[in-house]
Amino acid sequence: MLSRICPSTLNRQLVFALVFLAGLVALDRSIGLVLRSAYERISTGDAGGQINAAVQHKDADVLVFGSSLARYHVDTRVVSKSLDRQCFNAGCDGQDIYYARMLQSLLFSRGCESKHIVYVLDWSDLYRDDLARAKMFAIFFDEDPIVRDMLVNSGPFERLKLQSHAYRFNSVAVSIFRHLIAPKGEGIDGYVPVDAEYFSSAKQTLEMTQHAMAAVTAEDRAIMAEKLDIYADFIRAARGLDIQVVFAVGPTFRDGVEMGPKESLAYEAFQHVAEQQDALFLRLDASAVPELADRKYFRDRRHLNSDGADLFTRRLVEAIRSFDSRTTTSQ
Amino acid sequence: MLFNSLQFVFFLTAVSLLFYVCPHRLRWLLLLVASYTFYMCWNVFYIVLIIASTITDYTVGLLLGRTKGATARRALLVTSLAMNLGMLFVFKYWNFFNESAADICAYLGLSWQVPALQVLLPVGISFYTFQTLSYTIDLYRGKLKTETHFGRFALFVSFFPQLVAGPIERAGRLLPQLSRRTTFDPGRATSGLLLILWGLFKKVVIADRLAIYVDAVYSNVPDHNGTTYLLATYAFAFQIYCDFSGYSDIAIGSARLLGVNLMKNFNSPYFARNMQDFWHRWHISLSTWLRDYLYIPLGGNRHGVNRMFINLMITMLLGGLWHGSSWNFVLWGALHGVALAFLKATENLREGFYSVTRIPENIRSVLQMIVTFHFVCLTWVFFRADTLGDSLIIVRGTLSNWGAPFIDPLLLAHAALGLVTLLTVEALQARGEPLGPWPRKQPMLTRWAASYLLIFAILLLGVENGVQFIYFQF
Repeated sequence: MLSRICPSTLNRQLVFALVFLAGLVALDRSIGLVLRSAYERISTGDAGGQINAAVQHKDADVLVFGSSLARYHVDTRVVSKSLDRQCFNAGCDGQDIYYARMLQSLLFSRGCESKHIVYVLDWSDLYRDDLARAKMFAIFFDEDPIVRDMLVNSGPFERLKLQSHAYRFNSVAVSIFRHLIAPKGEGIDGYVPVDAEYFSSAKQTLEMTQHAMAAVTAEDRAIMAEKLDIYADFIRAARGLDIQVVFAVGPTFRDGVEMGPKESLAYEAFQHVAEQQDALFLRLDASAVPELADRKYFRDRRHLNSDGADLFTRRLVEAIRSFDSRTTTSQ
Repeated sequence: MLFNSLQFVFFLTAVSLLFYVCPHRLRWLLLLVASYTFYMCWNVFYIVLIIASTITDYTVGLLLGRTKGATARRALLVTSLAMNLGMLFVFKYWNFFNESAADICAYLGLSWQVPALQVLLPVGISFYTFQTLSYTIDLYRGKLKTETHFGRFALFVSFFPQLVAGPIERAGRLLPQLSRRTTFDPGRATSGLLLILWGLFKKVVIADRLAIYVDAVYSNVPDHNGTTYLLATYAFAFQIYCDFSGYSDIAIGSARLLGVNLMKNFNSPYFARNMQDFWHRWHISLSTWLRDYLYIPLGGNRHGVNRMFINLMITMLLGGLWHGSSWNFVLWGALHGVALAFLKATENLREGFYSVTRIPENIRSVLQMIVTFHFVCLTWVFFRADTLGDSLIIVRGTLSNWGAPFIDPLLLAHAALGLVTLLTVEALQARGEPLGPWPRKQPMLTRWAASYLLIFAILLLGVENGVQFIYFQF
């Protein structure tokens, strides 16, 4: 029992434990400072560098958000040339509305002066509750209330864990140093062209078939409701600064796998939110642009190659231009 | 409540503090409540199975203590075996045998209409049934005294640090420790904490990082080539080692905080020079259990070479099946059995070869380690692949379909940092510096530096989504 231990030994152990903890806190703060300083020098890499790049382009007239469906599909050169406006693509592989909302908040708090925000939608986002993917925003935990609120809800004890400044760089520290030492090219204003022919992935086909056959469950609807609220917040925040928001649905190479109930429900929901919050909803899939049913425009079932991106972006720009002219006329 | 969660950190801290504040006579109760709570965090209802197993073996134990007649004693042992193995069969193997029977009947054009059971596999069932079985078997053999204190016996069955994934302790080792009067020992606590940190490091920095790569390849077998299969299999070899040995280290470290020394479960298995050596180093608590309660009772090597081979095969096949109810695990066990039999059969031949070729000892041992490691990797393919078909594609592809590998350099850089640390520590351990007593011998600053390094490696490099330990499913 504790009482059997000599009090002086116990006191000494307690002092050691306290000194150890003090050292731990000091080291934690120091590591956090070093990593923060390294982080601020990078603008490439999906573990945070792309956030810096987006912040540097916060005043681009057109900002593009979304996952890889944005990053590889919206050709910033086409947008800049056709609309005569500066465009930056802030799409990030594997990310969703959580990432977009936090990035938007950072950009707005830094005085973003954009005119348009294009969000390339991924229907599966509405059925996925994976906030942990956007944990790289932990770096901004002390700076942005929206980032803080979202991250503390990402898991149990998250508020406690995020008190550690080193933990805020969890899983991104190596990437930061890698991009600090050897920055990797990030395409053209965020857009990454993919010059590749179509590759048929057995896994992707299987996943698409499974998704097409799956019914919408009660759990799906709960996640969907939560996610749609964030999409609505995303539009509201932009509209509050008089920024026009465009929700765009891109193409999928279906090749015999038809759209399932989950996908069609997601598009209905996106359209409803867009209409409710005064955003433009665009269907730019093969139903609206029949050429985009052609295999030659795809890298895989979900992603366009650079030719496909060029075609998709042209249609996107045409739709935005037509909407702008309608709005100007009605005013 | 996973070992790699903050919930467990709070739980262990609270239990450890209460343990040393609590009077000795009530400590068993505290640990029993903690152990049941720990288990019920996963599933409230399945605690009934542990309690049923406890009551059966406690009663059988009491009766064995009083019974002298051989037939009655055997009947009591059979009761315990039937209860524990029956439970294991129903919850773990029923559906497997049912499906296999249905497949065989379909092949023969017969009908098989036995329904499948819609039950969840109780976490840790293979571990605690084996642990409690060792108690009744040892009592039956007269190697052990009956535990009359029900609470302590219940704690022996359910002691939370090793309840869900071992080490599978023997009653002769664990029960006396649960009754022993323990005082707080700062040195033991420090070494326990350091071992917990080391286990967490192996789990979240190495195993869970490698798991991302392994899962990407093994869940999508047809899309990859032989080079990728090979890399993914190497990665899995270290993933499963770091996952399971990491769990064991956390278990041993947690028990050490509570004054209990659990048995060592791993001893640098990938430094093994042959398959027999491998099984002396891998999941030691299971391999010794299988040796003592299956291989030796079957006759071991006491009835000629052929019988020994049969015994080895039976032991390894059942060892494979213990891991999971699928033909992949049976095949995995069979491959290990064949390798062990081959080793025995070629003992003289190999010795002769070494004496003729006069390969220097150090070169020979390195070559043996490489060959053993690669054979173990081959068997891991069957262990990890989702289906037998996938296993065969991987083995065939590794031998023929080479090409540019699919790799994620950043992910591999993360894992490499962990692996370099792991192999350095393992090499030190192989030179006689086991991590357990290591902290006691070091100056305070060295211990602190090691602790800080591990803590910040976990915070910065750890995969942070609480992936379940692989052996929980067994």
